[in-house]
Amino acid sequence: MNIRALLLVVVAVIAAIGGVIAGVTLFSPEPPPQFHAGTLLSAPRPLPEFELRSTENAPFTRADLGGDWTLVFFGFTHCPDVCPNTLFMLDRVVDQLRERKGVAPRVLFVSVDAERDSPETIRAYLDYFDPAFIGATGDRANLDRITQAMSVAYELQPLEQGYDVIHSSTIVLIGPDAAVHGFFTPPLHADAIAADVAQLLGRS
Amino acid sequence: MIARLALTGLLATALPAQAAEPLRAERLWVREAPPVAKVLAAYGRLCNDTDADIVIEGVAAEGFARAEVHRTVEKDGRTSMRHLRSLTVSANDCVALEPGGLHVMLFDPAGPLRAGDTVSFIFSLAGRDPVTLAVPVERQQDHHDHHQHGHGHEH
Repeated sequence: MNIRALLLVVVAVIAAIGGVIAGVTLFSPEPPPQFHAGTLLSAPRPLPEFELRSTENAPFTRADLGGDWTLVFFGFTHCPDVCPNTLFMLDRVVDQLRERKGVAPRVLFVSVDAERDSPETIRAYLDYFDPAFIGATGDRANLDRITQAMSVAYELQPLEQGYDVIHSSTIVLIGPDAAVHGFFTPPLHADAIAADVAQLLGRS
Repeated sequence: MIARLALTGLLATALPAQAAEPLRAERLWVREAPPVAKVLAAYGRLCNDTDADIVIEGVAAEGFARAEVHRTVEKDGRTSMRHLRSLTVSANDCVALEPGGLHVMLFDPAGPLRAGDTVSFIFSLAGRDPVTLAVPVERQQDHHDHHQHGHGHEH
């Protein structure tokens, strides 16, 4: 083989190697997200159809959870400690993500206490924490359907005066596909939740 | 001279030495809540400055229909509250009331409370005179630093 042919082969091999390296670095997939505070499901679970009432007294259905990431929390407005704690915390999660990623998930507060929490009451309650928080409530059948689908529980327990509401303190992460993607269980810390959710925002 | 001594004597009997309250509040605060909220929470530290345990048997708060001491209980991912009919503050010790743990639960406010308001609490103590404490209403945001470390200790 003469020098020229040899040179051509060397250039071709270098080009081929260069092409492979370029291909690997440009087209390799992003590493999958890894949750440290919460649980990320390996396969998202689609939600069933349901109908709640929004704080504007309009139907709130599965379709309303599509298109965006949503953090869902179940509680009731007669809750003095945990519910305000969680809503303050979710407000900080949203602020942190907006700052870091320029975008943040929606926050949905579902009251499991439809008897005392009208849509108007829930709206007034949520406005104190963040007017952008979405609220909803519904009848027992729909609340049962959505809580079961999101693997959270609630129970109304009679007291000497009135009743207490026992509820899951879990925060459920719903994807733009209106499916359950993950959970955050206590202890709930804004920084840790924001760090987990940040990995999902802005991905294709 | 005698008149002046008599006057001093009279003043001495008219002004008894200030007795320290057995139960002292340390940074007690009512957390400001949405104006529509019917139930509020108060947190802080209750300290016993005596050499004997103090048992709080009840609490009332001015402007609220009812007040109770509760503990938030977290079990198997579910949250509920336990009404404590008595709360013991050990001798020369303090009890911490923090979000996610012990708190005074305040029912049915007469009107919405804003940061800057003050609520008078009356603690009923076993075998002792009740203690009245003035508790300010404050915003959660102004306490953020204290609660970065989670929801306080259990028990």
